[in-house]
Amino acid sequence: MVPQTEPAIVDFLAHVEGAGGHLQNRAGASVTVRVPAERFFATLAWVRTHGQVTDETVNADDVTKRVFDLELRLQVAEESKKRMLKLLESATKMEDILGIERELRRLTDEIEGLKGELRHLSDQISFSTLTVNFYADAPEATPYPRRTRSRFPWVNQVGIERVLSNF
Amino acid sequence: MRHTFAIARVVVVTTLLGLSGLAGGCSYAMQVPDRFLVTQNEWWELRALTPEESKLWVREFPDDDKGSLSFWSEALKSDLLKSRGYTLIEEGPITDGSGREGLALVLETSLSGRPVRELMAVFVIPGWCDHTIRVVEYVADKEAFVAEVDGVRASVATLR
Repeated sequence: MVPQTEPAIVDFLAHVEGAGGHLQNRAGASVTVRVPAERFFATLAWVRTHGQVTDETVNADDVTKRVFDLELRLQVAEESKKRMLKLLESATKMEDILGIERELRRLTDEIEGLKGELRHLSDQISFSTLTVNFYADAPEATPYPRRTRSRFPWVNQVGIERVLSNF
Repeated sequence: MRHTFAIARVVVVTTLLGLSGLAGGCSYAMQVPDRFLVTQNEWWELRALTPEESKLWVREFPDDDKGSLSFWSEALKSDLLKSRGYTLIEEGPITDGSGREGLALVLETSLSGRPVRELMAVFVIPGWCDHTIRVVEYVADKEAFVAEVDGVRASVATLR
């Protein structure tokens, strides 16, 4: 709970950037960020001191076993691939060569897949996900209807969507 | 009499040269970052692109109301943040190649679910009849933006 959501979100994002994190998603006043794992609790503490926390849930997913399994499978696949390469050098029959090559392709695909999964897990380990839902204490003042265009013509001609559509 | 004609001829030639200079105009002097290709450089705009099509655009707008930099800074932020829903990531001063101080904003929005960022630098160039608002805009997907933004800032420092 904060006095006004927009300034609080801007402050929060600035803090996250400063901590080496980044915005992952924003839907209205719900902001999801990724922060370096070692800064997670510091960021949580920052949130607590910059507003009233009405609800808080922390989930931890232990991926140690998954990483160990993946690394083991990767090691086995790489060793099999080395053995296949040696076999390929000594193979003379066309049938054997084709069979070994097929197996090598399968192993290469498997190794790439395992490496990809490890990279994904490594990112999960390095960064923590934090979702903060901002609520204002009081309804934000909206004295005038929300306008879509500025009264200053040049202001309407600048900005991300204008650059992307008119460049 | 011959002397008068000579002076008149010099005045006419000088005027014609001046007019031709105005008609031809002069393009922007700006050293764009290495990975950018300048695709247009005229007196009214400069456009440059990276291979990934990150966009760098320099433009000028007349301002016969002669608003100050501070006024336009507030007007811009009001429109971009409140009406368009951009997130302000960073705000601060920036200086161009002639030592003129402007405003630099780093903004972010989401387009089709992907984060897009902009560095917008705004300068107010005072004139007799009106002011000119010079705007430098660098727009790219967040990842590409982060990689090039320092280079673009350095380019702005060479803009004349």
